[in-house]
Amino acid sequence: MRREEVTDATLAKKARRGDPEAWRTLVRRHTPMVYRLANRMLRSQEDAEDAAQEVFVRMHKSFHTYDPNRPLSAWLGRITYHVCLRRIGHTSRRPADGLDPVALAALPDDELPSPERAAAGRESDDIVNRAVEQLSAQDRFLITLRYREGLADGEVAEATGMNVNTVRTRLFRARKTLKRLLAPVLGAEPGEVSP
Amino acid sequence: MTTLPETTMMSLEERVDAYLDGLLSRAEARQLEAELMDPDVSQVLAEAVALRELLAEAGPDMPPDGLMERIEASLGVDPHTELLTAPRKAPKRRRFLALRGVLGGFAWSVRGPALATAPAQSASGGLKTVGYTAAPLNAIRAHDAAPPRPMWKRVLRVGRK
Repeated sequence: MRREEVTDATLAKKARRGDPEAWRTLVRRHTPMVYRLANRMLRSQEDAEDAAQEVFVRMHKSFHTYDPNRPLSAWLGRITYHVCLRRIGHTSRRPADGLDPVALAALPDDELPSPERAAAGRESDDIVNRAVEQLSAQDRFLITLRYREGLADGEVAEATGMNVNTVRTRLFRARKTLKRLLAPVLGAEPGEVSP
Repeated sequence: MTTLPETTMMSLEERVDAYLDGLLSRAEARQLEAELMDPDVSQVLAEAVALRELLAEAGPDMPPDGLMERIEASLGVDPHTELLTAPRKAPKRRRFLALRGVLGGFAWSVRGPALATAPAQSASGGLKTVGYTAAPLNAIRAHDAAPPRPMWKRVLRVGRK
């Protein structure tokens, strides 16, 4: 069942009528996003798995409150946000200066052979993950929902209950922190990127 | 810049971010694009794009094995639970007919045709047909045995050998 064939809204209507197949499709479609958000916020695979399960149980219980005309990703993101916030007990902020920028200096080299390049890519991924983990839990959630999951600013605001301008301001500050932490990784040639 | 009062207060980084997020007006976007000839400006743009690309690819792609199945089970929508809890269809008459045929064949092979016909004749009660299988045998035994003497003959000892 491809996403283009059956929309979330259609599946949601079927799921409300108790169609198990519709529920399974929704779970399989949205579990990766929920898990990534929870994993990013909670910084623990086991906690993220439990949180993801709790998110879908809550979704199942309160599905009658969902408006199928609104994006399901944002609605699920809101449940995920609150489940994770409750789990971490609102102890969100960690100091952003715990990461040594010198340790982030390993750039993936395009001249390396393929396996080494893949290893360099994984290393780069680890570096980015470590940098993101320096942000507060809320900012990690915002950054992941906005850039990893590709939701619009308005949908991120809907998911978090924040004002859109607040979301933009927080995202800007988070990006600024990440740019500082990832300065060695972000060394792109001026002519490489076109707007 | 005099035509862009909103963006004049913004830093270059803010303008670049707004440009990438599609928040600049057409005129503001053209203004920034004109500034891209400056290497410093294009460097800021390149870094902003690179950061977005890194963030879009960071983190796990898929959840661990078994998580989706766990979630489905907790919701009661996994195939196994559905199989156990789904309402079952009532047995159809042809299943009884098939069972009757099997029982009939079994009786034929064990006791012969007289017994085998018994279930077939009284099969309207489904599995109760098994209880009637001894009736034809009793009838045969009764036919072979001598008829009981009437009471008055036994009392008066009439016709006794």
